[in-house]
Amino acid sequence: MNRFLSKDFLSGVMFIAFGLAALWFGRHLAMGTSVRMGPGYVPHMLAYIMMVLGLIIAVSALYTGGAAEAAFEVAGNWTALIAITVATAACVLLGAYVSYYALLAGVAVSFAILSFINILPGAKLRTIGLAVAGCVVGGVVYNLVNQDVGMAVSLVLCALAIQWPPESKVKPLFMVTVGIVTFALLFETTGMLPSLIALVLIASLGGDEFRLKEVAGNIVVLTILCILVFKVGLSMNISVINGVW
Amino acid sequence: MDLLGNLVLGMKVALSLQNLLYALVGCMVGTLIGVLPGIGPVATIAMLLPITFHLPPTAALIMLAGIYYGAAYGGSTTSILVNLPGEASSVVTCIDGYQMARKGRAGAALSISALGSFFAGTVGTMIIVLFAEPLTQMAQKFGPSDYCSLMALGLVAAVVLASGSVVKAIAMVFLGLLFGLVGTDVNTGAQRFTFDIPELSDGIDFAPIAMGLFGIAEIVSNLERKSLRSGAIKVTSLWPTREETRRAVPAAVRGTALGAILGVLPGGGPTLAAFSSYTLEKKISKTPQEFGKGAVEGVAAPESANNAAAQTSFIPMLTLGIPSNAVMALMVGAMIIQGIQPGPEVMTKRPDLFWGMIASMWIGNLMLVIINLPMIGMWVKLLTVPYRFLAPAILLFCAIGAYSLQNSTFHVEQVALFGVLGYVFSRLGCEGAPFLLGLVLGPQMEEYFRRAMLLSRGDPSVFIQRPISLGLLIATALLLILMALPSLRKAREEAFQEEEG
Repeated sequence: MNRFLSKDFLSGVMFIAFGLAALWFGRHLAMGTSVRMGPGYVPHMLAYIMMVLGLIIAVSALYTGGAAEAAFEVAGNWTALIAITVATAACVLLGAYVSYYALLAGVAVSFAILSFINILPGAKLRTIGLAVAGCVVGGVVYNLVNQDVGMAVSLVLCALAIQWPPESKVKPLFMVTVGIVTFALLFETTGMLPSLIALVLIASLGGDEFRLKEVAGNIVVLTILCILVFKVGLSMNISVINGVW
Repeated sequence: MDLLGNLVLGMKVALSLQNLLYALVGCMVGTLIGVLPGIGPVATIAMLLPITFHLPPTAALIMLAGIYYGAAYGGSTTSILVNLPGEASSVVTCIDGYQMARKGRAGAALSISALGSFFAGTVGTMIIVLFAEPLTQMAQKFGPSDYCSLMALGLVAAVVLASGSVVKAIAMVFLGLLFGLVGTDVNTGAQRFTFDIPELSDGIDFAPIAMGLFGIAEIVSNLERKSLRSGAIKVTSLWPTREETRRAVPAAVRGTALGAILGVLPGGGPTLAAFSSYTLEKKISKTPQEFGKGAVEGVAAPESANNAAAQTSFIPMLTLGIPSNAVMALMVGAMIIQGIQPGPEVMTKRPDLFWGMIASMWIGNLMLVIINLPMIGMWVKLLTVPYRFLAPAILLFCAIGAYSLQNSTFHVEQVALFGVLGYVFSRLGCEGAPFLLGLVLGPQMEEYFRRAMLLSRGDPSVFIQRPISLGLLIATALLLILMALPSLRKAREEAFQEEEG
């Protein structure tokens, strides 16, 4: 089993997957002839070469798999990985095909289920409470005020809700990504200050220590710095709080 | 003489108040990130790319170049004083530099490394001046097929000299080339891989990819690691003794020579140069047992080598438009953002930019000696700032910078997406640098390939009929064959293991 989790095998699979995706999404691009190449000629060529290389990497990884390093430390944590993947996929599908409310309900329900089967351990009631609150408040804001702000609110509250196990490896990646996405959602509708607060707060949760006073101080310093550098120094056209300054 | 006239022109540009200021800013930022462990020059330049968009082209490139060689200086300070390499090219300096510091010779080690770097930087700049013109003239004779082969050689050589698995790195180059094709096809106007997103029709912007792959991914992996800190050693006298000087000077000269050569090679650059020159010093030394216990040569040689290589790695980028490592790929990206197509035309069309940048390198090196030696205490204090303050700040600058590129939050979301992708790459042991090189060269390479095939009426033998192209392709093939030889592969693996260990 371990061979299939080695860095080499998985990267081979990744290259093949990218090649297939390029072929699929480029299927309508005309190949043309070698004299007058169409827009699809070079992409197809690249995709095929990449898939061959990916195959070589993956197959040779299976034959020399003895000393392979595992790419992810998932040993004994299979249920968690599968459960979280299924939950995320279900929520995304609900959001894409039903409605934003269905997605939020899906998030809240998955939080509840994941907490009770001990995949997101910690204070269960607090986790679920925060997640449900995030979904409800986010949903209301989404409908009444602004869609982007609504999504940002639910993201922030859900990020706060998750009680990461201390040895969790996914936390930094999750927090950093959610932080940037929240920033992107808030920046144009609310201005720099609210998006700055959201980003710094969420990104600080990704570290191994979180002290509220420090984070607040960091926010104050960064606000002043950003106003000086971007607004005054580089005179960019951005508002600190939308409609106010 | 023409050369002198060019240098005078360059000095005029570089000495203007604005450019001096940006050179200073670049050197300061470079030293800062060199001192701070966990954030290297590639990530910093990637994250500052959007800001350069708001500056005039010459100032932007001068600042980015300053960051690059400033990091090489700053990294050595922490290597010597706290045994923490600020960035990859100063890892070897830790070995003997920290031992010297423990013996009470911290000041001497610092000044040897700073003066050695300055000497190397001066020589490196002179080499650029001498070689820029002939190389550019040669490059102007190149036809489309020659260019295509040259790019192939550049990409393959970059892969061979980089660490890690060669097949994976080549696959990463192809993935980068593929990402470079996103957008409107220049020849037919067809939309390729744009998914009906209007922002993608001009191609994926280079800056968000670079920020995500290098900046965000680096922050995430730093947050995963538990931070370790150790106390800094106090600096007493800055002056080396006569004996130390006698040993340092020849080592610095050898390091400079080796570094200058390795810097020009594709895939070379400061890190490779530093490691090779340390190995060389150890081999030719009469007292090899002293290495690892505070040998002066072990500080002087790698520090000169990494700086010489940092300078000469500009040569292929400036004259041919072919980046030899990730930092140079970012410089190419910065030029493209400014609307300048890198290549041999830069020197003839924008002599002020070309020579101004070269002259500013020497000025920047001088500034760095001044910044570094008297202000060492201040830089060391910075080490005490915990990473949990820095990470959100860096992310914030990234996000605002990405937004400011085109005032669109779509770019910010792209940064997040490529951050995740960059994390996956690093987890799978796939390096980002070959991807970036492919991405930068992709559109041009396709253009030259299609033009060459059109001119030859679809006959691929055009690539082996022109002598320049044939020569370049033979060199590419030789490199690939060399890599497949078992004995060589083993030696290469051992060399890289030494680097990691």
